[in-house]
Amino acid sequence: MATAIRPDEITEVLRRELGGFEAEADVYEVGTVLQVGDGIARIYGLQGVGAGELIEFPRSGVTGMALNLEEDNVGVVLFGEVDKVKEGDEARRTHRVASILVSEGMLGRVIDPLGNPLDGKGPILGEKYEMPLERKAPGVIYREPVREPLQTGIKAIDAMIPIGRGQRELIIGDRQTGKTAVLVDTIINQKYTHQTDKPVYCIYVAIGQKASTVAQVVRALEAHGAMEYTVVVNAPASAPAPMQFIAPFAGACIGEFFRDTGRHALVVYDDLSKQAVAYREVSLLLRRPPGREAYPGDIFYLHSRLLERAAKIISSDEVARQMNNLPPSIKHLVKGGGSLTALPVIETQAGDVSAYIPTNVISITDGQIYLEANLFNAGIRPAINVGISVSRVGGSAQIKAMKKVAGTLRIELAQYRELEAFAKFGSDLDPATQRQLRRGERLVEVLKQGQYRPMPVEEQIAIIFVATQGLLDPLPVHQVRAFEQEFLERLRLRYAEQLKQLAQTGELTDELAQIFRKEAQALIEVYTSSEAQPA
Amino acid sequence: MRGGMHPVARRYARALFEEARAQALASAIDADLQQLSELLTASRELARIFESPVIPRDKKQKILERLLAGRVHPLTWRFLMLLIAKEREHLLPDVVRAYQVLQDEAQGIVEAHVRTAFPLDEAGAAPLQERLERLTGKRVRLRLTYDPGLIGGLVVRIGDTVYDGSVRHQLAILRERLRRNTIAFNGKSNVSP
Repeated sequence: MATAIRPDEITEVLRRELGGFEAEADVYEVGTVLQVGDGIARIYGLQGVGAGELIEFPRSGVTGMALNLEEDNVGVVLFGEVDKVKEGDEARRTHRVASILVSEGMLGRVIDPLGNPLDGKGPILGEKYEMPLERKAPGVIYREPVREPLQTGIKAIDAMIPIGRGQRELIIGDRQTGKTAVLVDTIINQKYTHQTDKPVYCIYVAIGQKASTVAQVVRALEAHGAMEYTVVVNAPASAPAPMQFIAPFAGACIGEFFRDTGRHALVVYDDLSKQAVAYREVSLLLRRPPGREAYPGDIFYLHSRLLERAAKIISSDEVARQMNNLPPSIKHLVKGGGSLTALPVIETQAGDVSAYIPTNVISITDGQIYLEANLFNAGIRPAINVGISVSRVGGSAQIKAMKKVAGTLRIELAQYRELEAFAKFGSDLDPATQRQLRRGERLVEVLKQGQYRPMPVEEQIAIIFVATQGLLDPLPVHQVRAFEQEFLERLRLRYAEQLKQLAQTGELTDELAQIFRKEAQALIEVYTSSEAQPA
Repeated sequence: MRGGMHPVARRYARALFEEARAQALASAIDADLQQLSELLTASRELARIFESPVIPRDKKQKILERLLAGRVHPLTWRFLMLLIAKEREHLLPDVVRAYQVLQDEAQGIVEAHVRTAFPLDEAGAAPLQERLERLTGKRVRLRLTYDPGLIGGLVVRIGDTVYDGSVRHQLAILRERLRRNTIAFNGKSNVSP
């Protein structure tokens, strides 16, 4: 606000505003608040109201959404300052389904599920487009199979549970197993895409979390330069239940804005179990009949319609422009080839994946990543159980070189797990088994990775290649990680050009494989000989 | 008018309404209900006696007998006794209102609540009534109130629909518009053309 505002400028603005103002009678439909409490208002009147329509309470300035249409009243959930609405207040129809104003200016910001800024950085700038919270997912004609990779930068995931752009991959695990860490690392790793022509924009939706946890995530994203391309939608534990249950829908409609304008977006829902709880609360207060675990009957539909909105859009602009249920505000901007990837999170209780909500979401998504507390405590971090984690569609999005090295990795790890149990019986094992165990231990070590340390795919290929080739077998297990670091450092210094080419073509040439082998052997020599010498 | 009517009240009202039409007693029963309605609005105490759960039923019945015996049609009388017998007498004011709604519906009358910034006299109301009748295509019963808070103009409510031509509402719209566009202006983008 450096430039002073001249009074005549103000007059000019006011005159322009008043110029088009015509006083004519306004027609609207009203109802009266009969009863209000627990974030729910019962309204008499509003005869023509539609389900999901936004309702205004002019006296208090609060908005709400009509959810229950009954014989003689309408059940409305209230957003914002719930206790400002009083009995007898006027309620007004808006003729709009609940929607938020999405703009590019949201990148780098923390907002609430209604699109209002929460970070104290002033109003949200940029051209605004109205996007409905509830929108039908694109039909089959407007979709394409997943084919481009979404690199998480986490070795275990990119190698064995690859995620493609447009996929829905569930992250599931108990509390304190590193679910949020996987999400944050994935978002941080999208930084490299912003140097390419297919950048991935990220949306982090925090549902029912502690405000301090969200602040930590935002701080981490800022520290790693990831906030520039990220929107954080925050409905903390202190927000009313209706806010928490619409938060993922707000995230989805921001993601759809990028998806439908031909760009790539990643939306993470952290986490959907809390959203289900918030929805259960709202449903029970609306007196909808409870079902299993007291969740309402449409809890499955709640999650399935949300996750269906993740999609890879057909690359033809012409077909994409005819997409179903396009909001009028972005009709002129529609381009093909965009995608929306969703990473929903579910928190299990004591590893129980057969509870109601986990089984629901497992069946909706295209695969799941299991995080386990005992692996976490054994120091295997990220604590991914690769044996039961799957990605049902991501394989076709994996780059060729990775597919090749990961195939061996998967088989050897599976064999290792089988033998692991025997190993506990003692040393009476034949050499082949011992070799297998030796290999497995080193592979597990290679898949360990620090937090906030996402790794480019070409480096992942390099280290997994040397590990599956058995080059690490002579190395003591505790030195594997130090070796990895030094090895990659060397490659970066000496063979930057070749690595870049690997990332671009996705082809692991014999020549490059030879380089990896040679460098690894040379370095291992150093490690093993220094080991032999007395300190 | 605040709030809705109890669905049970509507059911009782409909029963009486249809029975009256079936027995061709419409005008007599309508008049009785009109009388009851006037009684209930004139005497708040009477309405309160019916609503109160503390006053025993036989007492309520006695009060009714004193007031109405012989003055209303036997069908109305039986209906009132039925209400008491079914322990629904607290719904009486609602039933009367619901009955009148049904009556209006049958006769094609709508009620228009008009609030004006200045008191409106008969001469002023006549063109308004005519205009509203043309708008709705029905006969209009005007309910006039005076509300200086509107500053100017008038507000008409028919059913759930409000036709708002008040200065207060215009100012509210203007305020909203100025505020919205100033924010956009600060953001150096899309000042409305």
